[in-house]
Parts: sequence; C-alpha cells; structure tokens
Amino acid sequence: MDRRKFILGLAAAGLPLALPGSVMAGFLDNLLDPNSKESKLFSGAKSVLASSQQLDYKSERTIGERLAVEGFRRYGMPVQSKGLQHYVNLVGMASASNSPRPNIPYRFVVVDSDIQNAFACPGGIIFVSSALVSLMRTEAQLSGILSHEIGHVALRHALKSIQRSQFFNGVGQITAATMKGDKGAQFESMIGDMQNVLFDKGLDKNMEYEADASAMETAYRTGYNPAGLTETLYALEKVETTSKKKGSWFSTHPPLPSRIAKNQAAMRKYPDAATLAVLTDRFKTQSK
Amino acid sequence: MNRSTQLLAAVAGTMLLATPALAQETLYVASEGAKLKADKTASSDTIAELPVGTQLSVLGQEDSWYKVSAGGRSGWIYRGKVAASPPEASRQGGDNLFGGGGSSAIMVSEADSARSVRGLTEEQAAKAGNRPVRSEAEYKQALDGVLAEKVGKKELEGFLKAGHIGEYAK
Repeated sequence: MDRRKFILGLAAAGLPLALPGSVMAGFLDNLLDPNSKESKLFSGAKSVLASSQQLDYKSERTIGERLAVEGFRRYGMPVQSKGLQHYVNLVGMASASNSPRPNIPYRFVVVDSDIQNAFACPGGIIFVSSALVSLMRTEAQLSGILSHEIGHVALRHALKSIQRSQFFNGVGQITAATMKGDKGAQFESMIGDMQNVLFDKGLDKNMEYEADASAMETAYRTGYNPAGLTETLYALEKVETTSKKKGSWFSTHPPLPSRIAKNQAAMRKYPDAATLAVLTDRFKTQSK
Repeated sequence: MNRSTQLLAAVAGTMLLATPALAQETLYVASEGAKLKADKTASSDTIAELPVGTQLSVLGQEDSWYKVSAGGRSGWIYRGKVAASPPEASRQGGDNLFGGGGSSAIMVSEADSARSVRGLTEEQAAKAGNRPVRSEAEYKQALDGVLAEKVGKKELEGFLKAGHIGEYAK
C-alpha cells in the first residue's frame, strides 16, 4: 500500500467518527504534508504496523543467503586468500559489535572483481570487491565501508525497498511451504526485484545517506577515525572517469560530491576523530 | 522582545541547561562484548560482562569512559559501548554476533532458480560478465566457505588490543 492510500484509508476508517467535516478536510491536507505534526503522528502508527509484519531473522537470512549466491554469480568468487578474508571479518565484526544491530552473525567476503562495489545481503552477509579494497589505504577506511554496509543490514534497507513485493503478503516467516507453488514463484520474483535494487538500480538515496551517518557513528564507537568512509569516497571520486560503471558503486549509489559534503559536515560530531585509530601499516600487511 | 519570544527564549534556555544532565542520567549497553571495568582502562580487572540492553546509571565521565552502576555494581565502561537508548531486540533464532553461520540453509537446486527471473542462461550471464561458467555447487560451496568463517571473542579482543583501537587506545 502506498503512503497516500495508507493515510487516507486510516483516516477514512477512524476519523469521521471523531471529527466534524470541516476539521476533517484541514486535517487531511495536513496529513498529506510530510512535515506536519499530523503526518508525523501517523507515520508512527504506520511503522508499528510495518514492524508487526517484520520477517523473523531466520527468514531474513534465507533471503540474504540466496542473494549472496547471486552476488557470486554477478561479481565473482571469493578471493583465494584466507588471510585477507579473515582480516576483513575481524575488522567487520569489530565494527558490527558497535552497530545499531550488534547481535546477529555478520560475515564479510572479498570477491574477485574489477568493478568497485560493496553491498549487503539481508541478515548480514556483506560483500566488498577486490577493486574497492585496492583503493583503500587504511583499516579505518575499510571499517568505514564495511560499517556503511552494516548500516544497510541493521536498518533493513534492502527488505524495505521490496516490501511491496507480492511475496510478503501474509508471509512473516519463510518455510518450505512458502518456497513452493505460487508462493515459490513470488519468492523468485522478489529475489529478482532485490537483485535489481542491489546490483543495478541502487537503494534510495536517503537510505544511502542514512547508512553513511550510521557508518560514521559505528566506526567512531569502535574507535576508528570516522573520516575513513569519506576518504574512500574521495578515492572513488578520483577514479570515477576511468572505472566501469555498470553494477558498480557509481551506478548503485548517489553522486559522490553530495555524500562527501554531508559526511564532512557530520564530522563536527566527532571533535576527537583525529586521535582515533587509522592503522595504515596493518592494513597494508593484511590486505594483500 | 514580545511575550511569546521571551517565553520561547526561556524554554530554549531551560532545555539547553537540562539536556546534558538528562542525557547522562541513564544509558544502555548498546554493543556486544561490553565490560564493566574496575578502572577507566581496558587493562584493569573486569567486574562483569554486560549484555546488550543493560540499563546503566551514570555516576560520572572522565576521558572516554563513563563511571556507571548496573545491578548494584559500579565500575567504568568505554563510551563506544553505550547509547542513550537500547538497540532493538534482534536476538531472534538464538544466534548472536559470534554465532556460527553454519552452512547455508538453501539447497543447490534453489540457488539455481533466480537466474530464470532475469531471463539469462548461466552461459549468457557468465559471458556478459566476462567470467567462467560455474556450477551451482561451486556457488553453494563459496557461500558455505563464507559462512564457515569464524571470529572468536578472545581473538577479536586481541585484534583490537594489537591495533590500540577504542578502549585499548594508548
């Protein structure tokens, strides 16, 4: 249901009993203004409804694992270096433990790809391409990018992007039954939609800004300099003209200058950032 | 200055004075692996390990540490481990940050079906991406390898300590 229909439906169901006609018309006008107090009141009611339909973690993870298989197919297989994979998991887990969703089992993987990108599957499997890692110079930069993806998982951005998918009608849990027949076909369609969002179209730009803010907070709380994320965005900006675009960070994320500006402004929240961990040498040794 | 402006200024002034005090009264453990320490240093004794969501009464703050009491015990906690509100309860399915990913729940046959949605055969998809054609079993194996990656609590502590990160900063 879209927002307007939801609000109108809610209003139609309950409000005529409570309000006289003239007041009602003004109320509706205000309700459709996203900045009005009426709208804010009802967006609260909407999120309560949305959360009651939230998938359980196991189902979210099942969707994520399925997306991960598509991730390997689309971007490449894991880089054959146990040392690198373990290092990325250490930095990722250290960061995730201070994220807005600290208690689910995250996993991180570097895939062999010349396309600069990173993405997060629902439930906590996080991909970063070897081309993107090779642009980084410090552990704080790696933490920044991984924390951005952790933010998408924590805030359930991929699931929210496809929540209108037919598959979710009446499904709060994925079971063998929901993978078969008509529901099974809807599951496939939903996975296809999610691939389209994560690998081609990109998430909503406000979700990206939200994940950036979350990433800086997560990195800071962990003890890394939160400027690491923005430093990596700078590095991406420098190579933008010579990089492959399809399926890359450039095509699935908002323009870099707007994000860099927002993140730089947010650095005011972290006056002691320069005293925090950066770890250039450890990154250089471990990321080979 | 008219009356309403004066009123607003008074309210704003009161809020400025009141907010920091209110913000520090109660905090919540918001990170995995949070510890209540005997002193404001990571090398001091651990009094207790505090689960996510534990409510803390703030007694003071020095450097990057809060002096807090929780469940009748008082000690110090690193600032990065707390927040003004508890994080969402997401411990569904009995797993946690250090839980095993195990092997993937999806079957090889299920891993195969999404490509039909995109209308590409495996060969076409591989060709488009300039990659070798792989079997579904190989993708499934790659996923199982990712899920099998393990990081223990002790190892993570050692990693943070070696990097002088967060509470282990010099």
